[in-house]
Amino acid sequence: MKNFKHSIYKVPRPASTPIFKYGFKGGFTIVETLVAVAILMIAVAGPLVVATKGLTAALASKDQMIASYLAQDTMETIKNVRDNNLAYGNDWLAGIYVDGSSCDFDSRGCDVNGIDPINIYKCPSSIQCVIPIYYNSSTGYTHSAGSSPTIFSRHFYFEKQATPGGADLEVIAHVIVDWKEGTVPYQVHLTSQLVETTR
Amino acid sequence: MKINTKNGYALLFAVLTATLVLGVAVFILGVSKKQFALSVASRESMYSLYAADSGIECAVAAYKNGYLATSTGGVLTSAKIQCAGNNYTAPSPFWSQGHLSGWDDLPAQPYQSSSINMGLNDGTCADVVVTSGYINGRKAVEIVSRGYNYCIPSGTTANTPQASSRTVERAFSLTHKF
Repeated sequence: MKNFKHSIYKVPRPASTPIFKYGFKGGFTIVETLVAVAILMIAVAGPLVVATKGLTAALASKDQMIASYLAQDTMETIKNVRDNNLAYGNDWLAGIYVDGSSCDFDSRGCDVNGIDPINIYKCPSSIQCVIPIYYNSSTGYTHSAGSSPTIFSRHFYFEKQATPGGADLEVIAHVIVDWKEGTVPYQVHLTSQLVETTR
Repeated sequence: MKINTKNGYALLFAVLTATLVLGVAVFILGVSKKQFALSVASRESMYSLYAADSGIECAVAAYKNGYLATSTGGVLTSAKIQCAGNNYTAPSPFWSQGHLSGWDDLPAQPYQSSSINMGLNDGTCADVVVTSGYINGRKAVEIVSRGYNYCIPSGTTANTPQASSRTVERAFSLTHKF
């Protein structure tokens, strides 16, 4: 009897008696532990997937914000070029639009931003294309190939508008930023009317 | 009936841990979903901003070319805007008269305003309101362009914003004092 004092079995048993006859109640702890482990496995695996999806969504939202600002960067640069052209008496889209040869709807796309010197980057082929964007920690997003490549590419083109009465020359500026999250493609497509006038 | 209070701890621990882990995961997902919704709203807001900018761009051109003409008495005599390849004219009567805060509230010189809804690119639109009158005794013309990202494409309410929680309004205002 003394030997069973600290045992998990509450009922002492003779040495010849099988363990299950007296110890069934205590054995439940093993079953309980197995169930608990199974529940924990399911309970941890599920939330891990949920948390991963959440973090992926957070990264996607960050990239979407960057893409929006990249599109805005090019649109504002285009407007700046237009305003400067009008202020200096040049053709209003000089340098960024040559009908039928570059940066227009029927021909090649181009890219421009406010960080690099105002310089038009033309697509290398005769089709609408994408121009890769690089990141430089000191200057930001740029076209400089020496910087780190990013997932973003960008181009713009103009769509000429038929103006009723022909009083004004009007175009639609399209700025498109493309990127991928894994294999899923995303795009920000920004458009704005441009009219040959100053405010 | 005797209840054994010593067993069941592991199960209780598992359920508590599972609840805790699931709670953290749901919290992370909730925050991320809100971040994503915020970034989408930011993008949509940008579309509305450039719709408003397009509207005021066309309106200023129309104003400078005499399509938003005003008489010497501050009366609107024409309200027509060319934009996105179309002619948009304010519905008849093209102006409404009244009194507005900030404008001279004189019976003989009330403000007049005219509203023109214009359809733009990719389902966006702009509502341009031209107001003419006097501010502190000076003749003035104010152009307010409200841009929307989701608009009704056709019908009697064409080129007006959709009644949706996703619709964002951004606006530009330009005042010319003579």
